[in-house]
Amino acid sequence: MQKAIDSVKHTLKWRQEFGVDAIVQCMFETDGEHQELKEILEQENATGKIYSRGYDAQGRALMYMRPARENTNNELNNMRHLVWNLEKAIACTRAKSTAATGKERTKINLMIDYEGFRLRDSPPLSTSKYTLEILQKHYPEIMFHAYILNPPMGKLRSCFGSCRSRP
Amino acid sequence: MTMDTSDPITEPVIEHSSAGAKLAGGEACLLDAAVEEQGVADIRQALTEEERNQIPHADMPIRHFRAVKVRKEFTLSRTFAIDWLIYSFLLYHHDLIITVQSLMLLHTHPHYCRETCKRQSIASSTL
Repeated sequence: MQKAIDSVKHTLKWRQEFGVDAIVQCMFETDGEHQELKEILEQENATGKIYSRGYDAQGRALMYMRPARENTNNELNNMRHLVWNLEKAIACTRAKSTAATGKERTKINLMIDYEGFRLRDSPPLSTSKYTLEILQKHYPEIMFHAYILNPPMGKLRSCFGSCRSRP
Repeated sequence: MTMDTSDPITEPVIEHSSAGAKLAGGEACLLDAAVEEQGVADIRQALTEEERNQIPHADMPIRHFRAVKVRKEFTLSRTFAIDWLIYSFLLYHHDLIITVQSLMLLHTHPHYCRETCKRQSIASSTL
């Protein structure tokens, strides 16, 4: 039980330190700090590497992640962009599911699309670990279903096949 | 906290099987409903007034409670996932495995392999 309490407290503290409320509000405010955050998010959002479009039957938002469209190397800004999209997807899910079924849901569907993905597009290991940490520790049980679209296994399998077919 | 919810375009929906739904936005309980309700009550009681006001949405305590309490089942499912990976590897690369097994057999029992090949060639010639 204590672990669950610590987990909630840790997340609340993280939300304050990371500035989740400021990230959420930056699109609607025009003062200095919010303006800076807005510009950062706009730059991160320029290629559409993460976005939410559409819902499932119960009103859960579909959040798309397209690693091939990675355009920056700044880890902190990447995480800010991820958090902004997560908060947006959750808010959309709450609104849509309440309107569609009368029940407020907070889980989202994750669609990871590897179309056009190359190994050089892959983020650094520290960024991947930070992403996992945010999803596991601060947004637990938030994923309903995850779908991997256009998985890059074809290239790996063909590479393995060429090794296998050697005499 | 307000958020613009008008951006996502509504597209044709995906059909899901809707399993029994009880708690947290109509989702099925992962644990016994009474255990979950007690857990949420305990978490809320342990927080200060200020922390309670910072909770972004009502489902947050139940999400953390489930994440901690259901870790055992998650570990179990991870074991199944590893089993599934091994099984799928065997399924996809069975021809490679058979080749390796044949080579090992040729190495350990060359006489048996020669006899088998002879028998097969005789059988094919008689056909």
